[in-house]
Amino acid sequence: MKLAATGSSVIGPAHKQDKQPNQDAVMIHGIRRGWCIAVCDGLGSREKSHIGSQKAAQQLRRTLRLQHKEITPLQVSKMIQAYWLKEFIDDVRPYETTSIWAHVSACGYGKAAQIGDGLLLVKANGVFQVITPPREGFGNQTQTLAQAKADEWATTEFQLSQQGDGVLLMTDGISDDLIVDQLEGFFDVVYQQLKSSNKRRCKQWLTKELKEWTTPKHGDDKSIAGIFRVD
Amino acid sequence: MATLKNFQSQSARPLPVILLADTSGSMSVDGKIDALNKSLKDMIGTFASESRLRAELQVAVITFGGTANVHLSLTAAHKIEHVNNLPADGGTPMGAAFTLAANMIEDKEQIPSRAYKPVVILISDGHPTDNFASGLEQLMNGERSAKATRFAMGIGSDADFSLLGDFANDIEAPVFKAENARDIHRFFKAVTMSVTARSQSTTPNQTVPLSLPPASATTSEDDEYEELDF
Repeated sequence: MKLAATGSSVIGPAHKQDKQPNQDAVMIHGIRRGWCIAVCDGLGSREKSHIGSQKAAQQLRRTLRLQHKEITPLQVSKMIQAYWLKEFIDDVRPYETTSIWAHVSACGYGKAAQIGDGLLLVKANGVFQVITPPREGFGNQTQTLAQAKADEWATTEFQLSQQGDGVLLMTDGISDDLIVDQLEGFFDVVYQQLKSSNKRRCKQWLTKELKEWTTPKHGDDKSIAGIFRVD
Repeated sequence: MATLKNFQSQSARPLPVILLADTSGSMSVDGKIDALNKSLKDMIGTFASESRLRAELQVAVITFGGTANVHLSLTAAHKIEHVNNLPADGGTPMGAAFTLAANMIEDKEQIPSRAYKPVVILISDGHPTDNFASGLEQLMNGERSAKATRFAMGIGSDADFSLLGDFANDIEAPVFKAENARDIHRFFKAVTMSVTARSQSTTPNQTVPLSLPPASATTSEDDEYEELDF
């Protein structure tokens, strides 16, 4: 089994225009011959949310490195939350962020979770699934890592049993502009690109695609990360 | 060559603005309905001409005069070529208008989940003549409609300011009282500026407080409004 991971993050035109930082964070890291990935979207209205999102993305790696025994996606999520809250113990409000993460072990066993906006997609045993629950409100009204209650996390466990299986995460700067009934096609194009190139080239391709986003008036930062079984 | 462009929506994220307009018979006196018609057209014109937006401003008009009707269904402001003048006739079925607005907001075909939270503006010069409680409850507590920003303006001293106060949910924008046609224009100007500022910002979901232009600061546009007190 061969696993590969890729990802990219680009600043949105709105933040670029206002000379604000990219408030998204993306993390892609090899761990024990598997991969862990995270995308986090700092709340636009909070002045230091770019720091909050970076810290949230980093906490996954920390959690997985410290934790050797098998734990559930919810337990991982709660540990990420606890570590993150410790970072901002005085006041979490300026740092609020969403969090979507995934981990796939060397043998293709995966777990993933999401709190807040964005999209979490999984293909396992050739079956495509949207793990993200339907949104009840409107765009940019999101739950955050700091405020999340245990039952608000969307979690999943899966086995990447065949080529083309994988897990793909993205912030709402991407997901809100995707055509809803074509998500599997989107997933497959990212996989095909990674399979036919390599991590570096796929990142360059993703970055170019995100910079050339075509939805009219789009303004949000855009971040994406995925792990795929490529043979 | 593979591309992600084929999967991207080619429509901008909408920011819906829903006007609930009292068109009961009492609105026909003292130039109230004329001021409302002109202000509405000015607002739509400003929305349509604004090019720096991060959202597509959409406008709907629900009238309540005799019966409650969708006078203009949600339409992108830049695609609105003409709005028929609102008539003024009959009673004040405000509750039915609340229900129409609530249904519009809950309908994901009309307002998709990627939309920014809607703005609902209530304008009235009187008391409801129907049983408004269930409609108001539906609008204020609906799963999606509860999340909308609600502004309210009472016209003249006969307006039901208690109900308007219950309706408005922006603590920085208490119910506005219009005492003459120019006040209606000022209120619409403030709403237009708030919505436009929101849709230009990096956080279009955050309500921008209403900032009313001072009554003393008249412009050439204000000269088009009669100086009759309601």
